[in-house]
Amino acid sequence: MRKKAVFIAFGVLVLVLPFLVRDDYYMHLIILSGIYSILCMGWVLILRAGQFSLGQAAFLAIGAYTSAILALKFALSPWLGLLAGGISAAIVALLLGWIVLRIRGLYFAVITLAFNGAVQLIPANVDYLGGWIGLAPIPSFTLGGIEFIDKTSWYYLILALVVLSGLVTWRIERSRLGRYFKATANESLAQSIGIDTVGYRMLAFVIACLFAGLAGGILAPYLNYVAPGDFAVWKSIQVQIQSTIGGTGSLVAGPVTGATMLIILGEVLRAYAKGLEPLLYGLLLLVVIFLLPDGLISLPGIIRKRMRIQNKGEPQNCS
Amino acid sequence: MIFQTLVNGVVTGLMYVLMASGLTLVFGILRIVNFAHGQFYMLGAFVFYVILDVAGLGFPVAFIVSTIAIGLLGLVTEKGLFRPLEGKSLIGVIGTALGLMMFLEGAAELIFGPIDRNVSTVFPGVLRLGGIILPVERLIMIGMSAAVMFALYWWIQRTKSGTATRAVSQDEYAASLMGIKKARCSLLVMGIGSALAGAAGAILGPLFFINPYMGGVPLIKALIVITLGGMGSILGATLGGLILGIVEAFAYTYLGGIAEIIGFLIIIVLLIVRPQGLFGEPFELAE
Repeated sequence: MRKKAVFIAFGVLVLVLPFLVRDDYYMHLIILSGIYSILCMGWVLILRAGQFSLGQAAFLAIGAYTSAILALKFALSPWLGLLAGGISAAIVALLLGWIVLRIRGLYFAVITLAFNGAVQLIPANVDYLGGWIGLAPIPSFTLGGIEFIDKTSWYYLILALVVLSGLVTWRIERSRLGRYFKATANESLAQSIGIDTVGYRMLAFVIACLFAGLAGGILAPYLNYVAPGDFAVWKSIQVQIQSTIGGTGSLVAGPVTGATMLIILGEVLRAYAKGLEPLLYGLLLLVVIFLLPDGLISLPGIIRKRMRIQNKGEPQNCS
Repeated sequence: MIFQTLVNGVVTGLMYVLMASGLTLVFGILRIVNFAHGQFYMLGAFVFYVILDVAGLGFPVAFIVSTIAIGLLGLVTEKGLFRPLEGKSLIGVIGTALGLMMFLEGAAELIFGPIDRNVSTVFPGVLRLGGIILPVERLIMIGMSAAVMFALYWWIQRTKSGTATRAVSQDEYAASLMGIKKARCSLLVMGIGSALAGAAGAILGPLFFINPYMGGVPLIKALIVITLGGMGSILGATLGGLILGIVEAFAYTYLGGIAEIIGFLIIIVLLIVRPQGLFGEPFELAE
């Protein structure tokens, strides 16, 4: 009963957030958190299927650049660009995955890292794609005659994508597919009962990258520009760190929490001193790995357990 | 033109060799890619800078102190971070290395500030040999890198601890039957590997500007080289580094900026086609 109430309260809060937070700067951070939440949810989905990706930023880039090119060079609507961004990212993920998904562990991580590095360099060295300076200005979305300029409209757009992504991943987790994904983590066992582990790993990978591409399709018009610097390997590492700190046991709450917390905290600290951001990431990650392996999201549960132990003897209601 | 490019390639290549040897040594024993290796290199450069320019203690002292300091840092890292993680999940292992990397970069930025610094030139002057231009500093760097690599080879081939290390990297169980303790080996190897990174920072740092972010690119290059040469193989790192340096030098001269992508393509293609690189132990990547 209580859980439902918390859930509803949280939902209401999320819906009215732009009217509570009137500051453009913080709304910007929240929107960025939304983008990274999507990347993190995808990362955890891939992790559940047994793979460790250090290249999600590459798919964000593919989505963003596709949208940018279609808008600037072909004068297409950013909505089309959004869709195309997602589709191109999914196609690239399909091709890449087809080749490398059979590789496991550390080596897969290294390949995705290299892929990210390579993808970042392509627009950087091609003048048509803007070089290191990038492409601008990218037209904004319009819906029903209203152009998306105010942060509020962007917030609802990214919220919609976050919710969609969350729903999809949650449904997958709940469904047979989700059980298959978990099974692929133990490769030989799964295969011995006839589960096409590579196929399911591919599905997880493509879905995660599809959403990353869609996020990119929103990012480009939002920022009004695309530049290679936004898609460096460090961004993929950030995604991994955010997800791990948030908690990889959960498919939605953990990644979203991790992304939001770290983006906001990171920016706030960066305003004081640039070095505080990587310091925060590194320190928190180490603390989580050694002391709180299930991530920050597990903290309330642990505290509740501790308190229950302290209140021993009192009858407990199962809620 | 060709000779100049070749010389540049060898100089760059030796840089890569120095960086990669430490990384591959650590991987060979601990099976961990120390993502913080680049930060060790950066800290080596900063310690060198502090001893040389701030304390004014001269080149040899600066070099020795930086090498030893980072070696000690490696020992602490092994004992405190990597040892407790032995055998644990991949996410913990990779995460820890990445966490350390971020932490050190942030800490360095807070301590030293984000600006570029110029380490004073200890060996000024330029050599001109028949059309090839080689700053004396680079020549010294070549000499020192070669000396460090010789020391490394001598250690691993001719000393008891080096041979023990080779044994552990080949077959941990058999080595333990011979009385070789992996734990001591891990500690020693982290110390030496990290010291190599520190030495690289001391040798190479003065050639460019130093700043807290300078560790990122050398780490990537080292990663490329150890993939090319075979993770765990020092010979592979040596050859791989030189090959990468020379190939990149020619690619830059004739292709321009896009040459940067070659290293990444090398990793991707190699891990798909021949994951053990040039000299690594053949193994199956796909299950």
